[in-house]
Amino acid sequence: MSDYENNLTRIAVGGTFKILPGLTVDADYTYARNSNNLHHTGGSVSAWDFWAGAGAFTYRPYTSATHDRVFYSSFWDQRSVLKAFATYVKGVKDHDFKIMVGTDVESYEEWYQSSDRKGLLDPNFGEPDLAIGEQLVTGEHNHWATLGYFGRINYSWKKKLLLELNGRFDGSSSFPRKDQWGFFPSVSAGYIISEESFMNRLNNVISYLKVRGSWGSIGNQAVGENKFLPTMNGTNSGWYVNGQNMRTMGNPQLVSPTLSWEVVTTTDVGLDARFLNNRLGLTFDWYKRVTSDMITSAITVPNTLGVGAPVVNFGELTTQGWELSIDWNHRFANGINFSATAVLSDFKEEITRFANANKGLSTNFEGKVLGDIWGYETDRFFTKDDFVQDANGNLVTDVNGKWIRKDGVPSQQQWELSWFFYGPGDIKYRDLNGDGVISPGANTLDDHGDLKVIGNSTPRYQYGLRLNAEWKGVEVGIFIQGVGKRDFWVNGPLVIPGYRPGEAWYQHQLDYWTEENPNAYYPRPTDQGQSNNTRNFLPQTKYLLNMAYARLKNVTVAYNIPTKFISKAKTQSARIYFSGENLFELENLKEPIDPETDYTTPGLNDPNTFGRVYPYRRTLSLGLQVTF
Amino acid sequence: MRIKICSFLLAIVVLTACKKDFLERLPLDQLTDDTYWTSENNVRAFAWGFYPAFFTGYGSSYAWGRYFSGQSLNDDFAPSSPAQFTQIVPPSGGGWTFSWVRKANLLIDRVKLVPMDEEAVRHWTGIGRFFRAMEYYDLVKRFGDVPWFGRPLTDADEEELYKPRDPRTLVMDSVLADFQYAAANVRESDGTAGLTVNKFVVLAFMSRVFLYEGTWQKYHFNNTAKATEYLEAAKWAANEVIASGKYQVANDYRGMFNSLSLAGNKEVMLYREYATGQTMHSLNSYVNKEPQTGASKNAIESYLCNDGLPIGLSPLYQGDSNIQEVMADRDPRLYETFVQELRPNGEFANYSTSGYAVHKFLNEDIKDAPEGNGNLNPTDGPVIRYGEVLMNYAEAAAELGTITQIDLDKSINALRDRADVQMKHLQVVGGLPAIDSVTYNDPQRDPTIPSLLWEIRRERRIELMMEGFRLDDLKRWKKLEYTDTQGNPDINRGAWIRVADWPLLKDTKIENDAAEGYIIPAWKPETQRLFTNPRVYLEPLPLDQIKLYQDKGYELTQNTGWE
Repeated sequence: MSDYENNLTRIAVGGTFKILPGLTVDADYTYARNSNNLHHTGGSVSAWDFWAGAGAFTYRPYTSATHDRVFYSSFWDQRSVLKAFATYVKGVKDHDFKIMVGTDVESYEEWYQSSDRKGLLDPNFGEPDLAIGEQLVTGEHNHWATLGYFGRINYSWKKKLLLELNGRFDGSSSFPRKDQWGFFPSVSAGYIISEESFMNRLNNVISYLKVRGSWGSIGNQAVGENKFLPTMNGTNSGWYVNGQNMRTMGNPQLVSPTLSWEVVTTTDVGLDARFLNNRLGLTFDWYKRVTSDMITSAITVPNTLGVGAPVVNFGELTTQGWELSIDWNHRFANGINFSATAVLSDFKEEITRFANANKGLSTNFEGKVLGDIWGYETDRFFTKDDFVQDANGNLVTDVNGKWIRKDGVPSQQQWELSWFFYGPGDIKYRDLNGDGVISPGANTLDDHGDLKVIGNSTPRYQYGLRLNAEWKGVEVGIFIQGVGKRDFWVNGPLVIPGYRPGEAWYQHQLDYWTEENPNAYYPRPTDQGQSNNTRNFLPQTKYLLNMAYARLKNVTVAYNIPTKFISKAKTQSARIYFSGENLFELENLKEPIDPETDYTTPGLNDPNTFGRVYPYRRTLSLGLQVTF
Repeated sequence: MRIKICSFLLAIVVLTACKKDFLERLPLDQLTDDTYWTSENNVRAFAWGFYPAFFTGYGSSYAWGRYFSGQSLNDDFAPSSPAQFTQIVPPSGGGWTFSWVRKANLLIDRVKLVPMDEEAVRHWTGIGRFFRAMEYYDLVKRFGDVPWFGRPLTDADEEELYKPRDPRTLVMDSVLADFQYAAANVRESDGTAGLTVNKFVVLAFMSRVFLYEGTWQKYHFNNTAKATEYLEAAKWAANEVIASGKYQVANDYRGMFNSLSLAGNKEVMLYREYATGQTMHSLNSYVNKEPQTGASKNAIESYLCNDGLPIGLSPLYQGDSNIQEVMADRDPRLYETFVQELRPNGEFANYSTSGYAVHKFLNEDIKDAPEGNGNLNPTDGPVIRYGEVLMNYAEAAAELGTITQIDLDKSINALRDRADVQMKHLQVVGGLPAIDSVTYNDPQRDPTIPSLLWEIRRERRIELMMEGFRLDDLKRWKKLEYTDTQGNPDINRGAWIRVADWPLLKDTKIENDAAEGYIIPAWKPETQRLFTNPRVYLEPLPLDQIKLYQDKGYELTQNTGWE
């Protein structure tokens, strides 16, 4: 049982001051204080363990001893933000200027403390005084500040050539004194071609046309506060002296004497156009965003150093993407008003600079596409024919009860245990490199064994479509949203049957392999040990979730009752409507999972609760709106 | 009003932004390498970080360190699928890590900065050098030649980071210097007795380390000079502990392994404290509630009869056709270590692969209580004990060829005088082992081992049975052939049973499928452990490191046989 309470206090003062004609000063100061308290009372939960004792179920606690505790924590922070800038606007003939200079100041400080005591005397009373086990206190206290100055000049000529110059000079407490400041310029320009006189004769076709481009950089300082200091982190050693867990301090990390802002540089070219008397509109943007000077190690050091290389401004991540939006409005001769808006966007992120000599797949390396999922190709279930049989067609086992693979059947021994051997009904992975052994090789890019990229968890081709029609007071609106491609290799009891001993099985998981049900969806039930990376549930193509979807987010049908019928009732307007939310989706999931689901916040809840959320509800509403 | 707000905001700008150190935000809840080293208390806190890693005791939760089958690749255990020697070169890791060397070097280096007494500086330098020596001992045991680093390096020290491996003997000379410094400067008493490193703990480990290296030099390198130097160091260190009179042989042998508290135990020099709700282990449950890896016939037969003679000579030995015969008139340490009943598979839920089951680590008082289950065991775990020091002394003296009756009396015979052991004294007569002044020669002796040394090695095996020493011992004696399940078939035999006596027997193979005979725990040809390649005396270095050196234009050599 958890109680959570949050308090937020915010005081803001500020305003706009007109000093002279064309000159204004804007200033805002905000002080915010946030605090929250958590009280968590654990206990012990028992259930039937279906993995223990070969069919003989045992009833036992399945929550760990550390769950039997009372936990109090409190967090509070304060934030001061000041923004002040002066703006001067001036127009001279065809030239319009706007000049801005200003400053941003922010300071932040936070505190946290928690107390935890195990061994509740009574789970109904979760109080430290009523617990008898080990007690643990923790605390945190951090602060940071940023200070920035900026200037901007906007210039437009005859309202068809637009130019903006920006410069920011930012300082952050997250870096050593001499590296605290960074300068981040940006520039953008636009050209409204349709304003040109030579375009006049195309006016019927092209109502508006603007091309634009921008290039600019901003800084990122949110990289952790003390990366440039050889901090020593306290931990409990696990060595007890007279009942006390002796506190110890970890080794200081190696740090670099210089460390500064990460730089995010974005190049964008775009087009805004409207055609056919503004009825058809198109907006397109292509962008490339390079995050450079990312704070990572710059070299691979040998193990002899005994510690990782210090982090410096080194890594680089490149994102390329585009966004397209098309809208269309039309009024038909019979009075029907119709409009449609479609948006489609996509992006891809790739590590373009990173020090990782081994190119281990579980870490970043140059050329890694973010979100890539490495896994195995599922071949099929093992069948009896994959194993040695005696004259009667019965499987031969060795003293350990292990089935004996026939020659030519690739070995999956790497995931076998004293109590688990692959046999009929288990997953047979495909031996992609043909070496007779299913293995991840060295788990590096150069030697990845039978692994391959089986998918990517980044949502690709996100789209939306909005359709509206109106005719004589009847309105129909439809909104569809979706993702074109997304894969996910998840963990948790919803996707891995029998995930935890003592936990109920979901209905869809009952379609598991038996000799009578050889074409089942799930393999022979085995204890997966709460892992999505072992035995029958190694990352693989068969159970990879296809999270692509199209969802009918909203349908609205409304009728506005004509005024002539309602004016007698002293009403101004009346509207009857029907609205349906989330009525329908297209997806390819075999599991009863909503494709928009993600993990729940770990920590408070179990980290392995993928999909166990309130589902997206289908909502139907019928209503009447009357305005008097 | 407008003016007031305006000036108020201006004031904030001036007060905050223009404050010169506005962007100076040093950590509030962390100390740094530059601010930490200010008192002896801080040094002590840093040093606790070594303890659970170097002194695993019974481990924690479901991992139980090197006790019992935590170290099962030897000739004491008869598992159904024996642990195999390393067969492949690891792509990375493989134990080739220097983070503990770095930690020790940091401690040694930073202690100099701490304002405290000269004595305290020397004590903590000694602690740092002790842990550095311990870590290098471990690295040398695994890899042989390793690069020696005497200071904490940074990524700028490229030449030194990529330097070639230093010869083993050079490294062990540095280890010896570290131990000698630590033995001279670490306090005799510091903090809670039994839970902190003191001078005698340093000396005890020194006797272990240099017995290892002395015998290695003798049997692997035939380097008499170094072997003598190191064995003398081992003997000296053990003798310092003995001569101090601070420790004694405990009355209760098993009490060192199954007690809820080892505080005040006069034999246990260092132990790990366990308690319910704090740190707990699973060894007590494993030897009682779970199917266990059993002891081999070879291990059981190594125990003497209680007349002090090997079973091949003693008239008291009754044979092994049933457990009563096996257990009759034997060295009482056999009873302290093994249960006096057979537990074949099928007949017992907590069966043993060989039939012989261990109870050395079982506390009967808690066996059915909640803390006797799973990973909730609270019995304290010994880390190093005086009994081992005595065995180190005896063996070092024997290997030096200088052993006398006095040496035996203060070591092996002190252990045989233990209140619950009470075995006849081992004597030396004309360089041969003797009982009651009559020399004897075990017919089962490895003919390459002199008779007295054979008895001393036997005593070590029995006294330290299942305490995790055996594989290291066989390696330093260059006797890994003992672990070959085909070359030494008695290590793959268990108890003698008659199938008809055990109606519920299952998954048990009797030798030659006879109606009665020895249990063969690992009967399949492919599960045999063969010692075919001496390269396994040392571990292979990980491939990623070798490649990294190559790419950088340096060379990191692979161990012989692993190239």
